[in-house]
Amino acid sequence: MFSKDHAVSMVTAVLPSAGVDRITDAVLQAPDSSAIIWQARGTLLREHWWQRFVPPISPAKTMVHLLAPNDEVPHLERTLVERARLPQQATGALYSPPCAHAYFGSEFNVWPSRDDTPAAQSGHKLTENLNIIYCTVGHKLSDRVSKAAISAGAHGPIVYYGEGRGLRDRLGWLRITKEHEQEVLMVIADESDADQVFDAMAKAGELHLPGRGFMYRMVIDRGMFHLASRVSHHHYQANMQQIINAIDHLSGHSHWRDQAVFDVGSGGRGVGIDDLAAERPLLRDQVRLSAIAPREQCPELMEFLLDSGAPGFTVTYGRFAANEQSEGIAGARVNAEYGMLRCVTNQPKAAQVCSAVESGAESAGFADVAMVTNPVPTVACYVPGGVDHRKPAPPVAA
Amino acid sequence: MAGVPDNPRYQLGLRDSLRILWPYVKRNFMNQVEGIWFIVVYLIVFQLLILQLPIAYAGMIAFGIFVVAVGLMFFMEGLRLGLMPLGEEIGSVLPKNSRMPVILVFAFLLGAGATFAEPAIAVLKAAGAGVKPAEAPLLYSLLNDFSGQLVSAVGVGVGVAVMLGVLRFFFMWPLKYLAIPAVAGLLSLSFYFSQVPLLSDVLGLAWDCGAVTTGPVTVPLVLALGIGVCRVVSGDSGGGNSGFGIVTLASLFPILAVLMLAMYHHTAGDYWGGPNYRGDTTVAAAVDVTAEPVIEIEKSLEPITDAEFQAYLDSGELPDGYELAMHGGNARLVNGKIEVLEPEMVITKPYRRDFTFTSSESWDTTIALDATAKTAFTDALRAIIPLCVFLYFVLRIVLRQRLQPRNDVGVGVTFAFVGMILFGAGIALGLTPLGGQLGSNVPVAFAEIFPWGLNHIEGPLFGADAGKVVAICFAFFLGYGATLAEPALNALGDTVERITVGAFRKKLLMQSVAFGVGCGIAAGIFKMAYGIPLFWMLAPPYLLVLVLTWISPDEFVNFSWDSAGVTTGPITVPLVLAMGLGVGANIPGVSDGFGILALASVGPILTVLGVGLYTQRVQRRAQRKVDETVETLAPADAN
Repeated sequence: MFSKDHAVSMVTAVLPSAGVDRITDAVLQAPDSSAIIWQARGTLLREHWWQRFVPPISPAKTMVHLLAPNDEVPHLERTLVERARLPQQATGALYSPPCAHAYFGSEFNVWPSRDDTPAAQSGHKLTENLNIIYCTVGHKLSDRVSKAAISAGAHGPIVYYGEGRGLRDRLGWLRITKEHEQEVLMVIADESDADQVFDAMAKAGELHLPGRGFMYRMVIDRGMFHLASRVSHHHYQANMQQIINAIDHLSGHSHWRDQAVFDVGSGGRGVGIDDLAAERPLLRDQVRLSAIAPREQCPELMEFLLDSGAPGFTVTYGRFAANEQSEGIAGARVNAEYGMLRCVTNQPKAAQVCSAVESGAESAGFADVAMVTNPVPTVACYVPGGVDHRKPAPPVAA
Repeated sequence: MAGVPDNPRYQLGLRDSLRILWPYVKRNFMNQVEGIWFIVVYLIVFQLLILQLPIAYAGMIAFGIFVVAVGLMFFMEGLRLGLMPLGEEIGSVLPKNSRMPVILVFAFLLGAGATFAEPAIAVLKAAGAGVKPAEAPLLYSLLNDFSGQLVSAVGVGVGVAVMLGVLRFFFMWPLKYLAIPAVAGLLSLSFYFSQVPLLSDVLGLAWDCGAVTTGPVTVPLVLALGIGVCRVVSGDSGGGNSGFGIVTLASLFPILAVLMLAMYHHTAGDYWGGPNYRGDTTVAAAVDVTAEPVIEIEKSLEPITDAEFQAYLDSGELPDGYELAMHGGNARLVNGKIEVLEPEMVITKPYRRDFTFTSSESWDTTIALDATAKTAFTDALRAIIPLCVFLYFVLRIVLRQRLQPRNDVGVGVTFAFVGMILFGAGIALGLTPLGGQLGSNVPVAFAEIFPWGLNHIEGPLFGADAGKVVAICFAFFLGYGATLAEPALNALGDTVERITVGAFRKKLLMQSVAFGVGCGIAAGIFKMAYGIPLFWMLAPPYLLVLVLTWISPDEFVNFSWDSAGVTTGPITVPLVLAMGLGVGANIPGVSDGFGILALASVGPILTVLGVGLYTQRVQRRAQRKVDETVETLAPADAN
């Protein structure tokens, strides 16, 4: 039977790829603790014209996900910050949104809460009031959205690959026509910046048109991020975050950021007026479901979840690092592989899927599965029936 | 379950299915056209504009190229859906479900089997068809008497290489520590060979054997295997662990095997003309492909008509385009001038051809469509099916693992098979004639030849040295364009982009590899045109490669060496060999086309490593600047 109502958070860390194993070993001290790890990359902006032919190679990052009980989270955060030296410029990020609901299968490794958790005294203060924006776009289309995000003041998005599943898989043999992997961009921003970054990314990716992508924004209470957006040659050139911080400091407030510069056409530019673009309806109050299962079981689990009503998933596979790992062959560690299925839907559907999992998953053979939910306040995607102001208004019947 | 789900399984009708299929087909077809348009347009434009010769069999070539594009489309989709997931599945399960001896035996069988499945040795035999036994006895014997042993040696070499490559994943050896000693050993052995006259002929064959081994089916399989293994095996070595490296070793070890085979036969003395030869040494008329250009034949002439003769008598002037030849008579030197009494003068009218785009025949009647299709069918059957059956057998019986449900491996293997048939047939109909024409016609830049499809001699267009330079430039762009069309390189580029999560773009890898191959092939034609011994062309670039490999970061070393092993494939090799044979036939003293492919393999390593070093240097320098800037600003930023 699936157990429910654990108070867990999904601790996520973005770390530089070198030396990840040592950091995970240090973090996975408790028995039955585990992490899912996959590769990602940062994004660097191209500054010179010749970099079009020899572009800067984006830094390789690794994303580590831990499902830890809320009591353990401060200790884990502190260990990660110290081991990975996150406060250094351009190393990584860390955040841990608490999950609203959590369902664990009988064989899933549940991280135990320890009573003797050392009190959390952090030497480094985590930034508060952060938002995180996830944007899923098609293969090789992430450059435009990344550029818009960086121009709006965010850091270079962290990009990882996922497979999009859903409707096409229901079409039988036609599923071979589905596109390659999708790219998932992730941007962390201050709450005050997030609106601007969100809008800029939605506009650049044209997400209000069908088939372009999907973007959502979540609130994370606290976190830390030091990620690079550009690698520059010039002496003393400050990067975008430094400039923005300096202007904040000098003007004493951050309202100046609300005024966007935009094109009014024929080369003219305006500032301070609302953007006269198409109205883009946003979905509100959605729920993100994350399901974790062994890689061999992911297709079947996805069928099960699609049957229960979920619209579609982004699937990312990663390797599974556990506390006591058996030695494999010739001294090298052989890991298991797990997949994470993520889906954003409205609340009734999410509840429907969760209840299906709770009641039916065990009997359908999925014992080593976990599912957690997070609230998502804002989603930008294609909404059928939205009004596009670029087209002339239909004539009003007299 | 509450109510009817919103996304039931659909059964689509024909029209709706086509609506979904059409963008998919179009997208894939345009991807392939993007790859092959350059080489096709380049060959046509070069022949028409620079050589000013018409294209023979234009209709057949156009049809063949279309079939190549369709075949490539099916083949690449087949790789993506079937072969690579199969390889990855095996690779990810292999470390978990079996012990080391089983893994090593499997790796060896895979490597050896792949060599027999994709016989590139037949291609090398074509390159050596003009080898005369009296000139290069050991080489001749290796290609004709001991060809079975040659293939086996190459197979064993590839098998050992795959074994070592798989071992490398478990023991986390950086590729540098395997590749550098291997290349250093090969270079010293080659130096020894270059000093012994009999053995020095074999050098070209040996290095080319290494270049042609891994073909368009083996490379994706072996890459996928490596990636699968590295997905599950982890350790503490930094970025060196990414699944590449097997293709590198599979290109180096066969060279060693062939060199050792040659050494064995040299010491045993049983080559043609040697003391222990067991065959017939009567100089059988070796099929002499290198027909000597007949220089004494006059340039073709057109007869002068009576009307033109009358016009000459009336005007007394020599019309345009006529040539005057004077001989005989008494010549005396009078007052600083030469006076010739009663010479004999002959006025001739040389043949002037009208420029046409295509020659009169639009289809080569000697090529039968069904024979071509049958050859392509058997080649594809031999290349794909045994390997896939072997892999499936290993997966189900040895590893006791089923494929994931709802997998597309069956569809993928079928697509790959169909694609390979179409691809092979298309190349035989389209690219080989085009390449053959150009290969035979390129020497018109620097020598007198009988162009393809025409029946008269045309002279050197540019003079001896300038013409050779034109031929070398042609070779560069030929190599560049043909490499961009290679399916194995496309697969490698996709894989590199996937493994690095988009950090190293496929386009960047393909452009740098294509540039490197172009340089290599140009160097090969240079070697052939000026008769430089192979060892002195090979040693400097390989030494530079060793130095660059030593100082490069591990991630770049992995896929740069692999890109060298990937390049010479079904599109590049026929074109390059045709050109090599054509150029070699018109330069006295050249008997075989070996060596060009080996040089074409070393170019991409240099370019990709160069790109890696450059970007690393830029990023390191800039990162240092950022750190300095942050440190100076940090005190003011105390939040």
